[in-house]
Amino acid sequence: MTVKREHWGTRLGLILAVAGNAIGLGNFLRFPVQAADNGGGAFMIPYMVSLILLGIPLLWIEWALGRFGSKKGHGTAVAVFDYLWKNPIAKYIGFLGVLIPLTVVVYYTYIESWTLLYSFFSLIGGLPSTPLTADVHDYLQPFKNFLIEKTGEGSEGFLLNPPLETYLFFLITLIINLYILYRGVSAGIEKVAKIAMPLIFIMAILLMVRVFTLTSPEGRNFLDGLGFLWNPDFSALTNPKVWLAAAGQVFFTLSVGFGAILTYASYIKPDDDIAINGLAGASVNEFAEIILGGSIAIVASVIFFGVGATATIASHGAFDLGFMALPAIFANIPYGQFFSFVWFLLLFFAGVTSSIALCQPAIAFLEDEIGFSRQKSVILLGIFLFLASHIPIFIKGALGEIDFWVGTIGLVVFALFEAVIFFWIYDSKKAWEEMIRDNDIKIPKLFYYIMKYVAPSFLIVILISWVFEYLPSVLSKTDIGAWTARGFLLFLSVAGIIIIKLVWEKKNGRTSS
Amino acid sequence: MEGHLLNGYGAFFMALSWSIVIALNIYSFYKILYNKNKKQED
Repeated sequence: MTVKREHWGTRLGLILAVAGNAIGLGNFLRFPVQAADNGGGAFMIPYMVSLILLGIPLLWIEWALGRFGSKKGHGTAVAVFDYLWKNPIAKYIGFLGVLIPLTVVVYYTYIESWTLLYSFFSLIGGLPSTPLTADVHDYLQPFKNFLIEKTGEGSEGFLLNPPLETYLFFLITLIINLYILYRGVSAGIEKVAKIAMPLIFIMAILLMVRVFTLTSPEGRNFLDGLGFLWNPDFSALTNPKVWLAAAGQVFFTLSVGFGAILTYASYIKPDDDIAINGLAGASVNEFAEIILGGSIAIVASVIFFGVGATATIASHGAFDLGFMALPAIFANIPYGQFFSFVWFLLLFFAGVTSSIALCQPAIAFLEDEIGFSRQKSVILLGIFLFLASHIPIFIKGALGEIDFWVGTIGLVVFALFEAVIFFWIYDSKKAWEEMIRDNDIKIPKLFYYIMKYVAPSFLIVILISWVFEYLPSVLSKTDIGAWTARGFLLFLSVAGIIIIKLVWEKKNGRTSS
Repeated sequence: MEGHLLNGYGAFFMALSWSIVIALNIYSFYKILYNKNKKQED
């Protein structure tokens, strides 16, 4: 019944794949917006504190759980939690480590396909072109209309009406993802990471150089952009919301709480290092975020539109910056078509390396727990993703609703379970021994206390604050999109519980609890 | 707010953040290479 588990071919490949998992659209769009909105340079104080007290500890916990799984021949939290906590409920909680990434990928692949579509339209000159006008709103309107047209959001009623090309690009993106997964961990994911990651860095540096050489007719240059992002507002440090925003950004950027790192780490050998591998993956991600992500979109926007207009664009969210402001800027600079193509291709590559990571826990579950071959697992996953993606593609409001429950609250809940089950329920001393064994560097003992006390407390504070901040407005939604999304999540949860129950009954040859 | 040039504090925070990130990268990849060479010698 069990399938021989794969392993990473090289250490570099593993680190690039893990970094590729973490580097996504958020590095280039979410980070600069968050930093600029929350105190500029001063934001980096809570950011770095969160990195040490929350990000790195959770990352190492997930790596350690994955290596523990590797020793036992399992690649998801379902079985890992079942080993750590001798309680029948543990495996069902562990299912969050499959459900969360699987559900996120349902809409993430669709958003990823927009970047491919935009990249293609940039190349063929199909993006809007607009003459320079004094008013930013007028200038951005054609780009807003283009996004609305391509996502079908202009339709009336509860159904979205995207054009055929949007659907085709979604299918192409889905097939690319499935093909990479079909090739396997070493020949697929690792190989793609080795090609895509250097390309992401080359494209980002190319764009960074172009942005740093931009000037506006009013005389603004990159120093204005960097000033907007980095000049500190120290009063922000007394605002708890700024600290929570920094913690949230660190949490999202490292991709902890998805279960994908756990799965990736389960493909290392049982006596391989996790400490330096985890740190190297995080370092590469931070390079992409702080140095490259902080030097492209928002800097270009400030040069082109000015500080006030950029603040307005950023306040509407990262998508306005990436999908409207940036192509609008590229539309009026020499070789802008090419730079627009590079920008969206960069986002596409960053998206692909993340979405394949999000798919892998489901593949690992089907292979390790049910005994399916990789081919069969990928086909099943493909059918599921194809069918499920029609919800965010065609039903208005569903994408945001799924993102809130799974991509926001779900991540924090699962990360909290990982820390609590490992350090509180399993045994903190055994957990620490598991954490520090066979590593190439020594993890300081201070992290034992951070992992046991500080990180879980931090997560609880984040969870409570997000619940109070967002839940009332989310629960007040009663449209068809919101209820479809809730029904979809409920269906997946129930289906998952039934599947796990049946699988464990079959495994144990007895009735499972 | 127009003409929001990078000031001394901003340059300091940017330089510090970039330095931390670059140092982290150098440290982690140096350790990986060091351990790889050490294992090959052993």
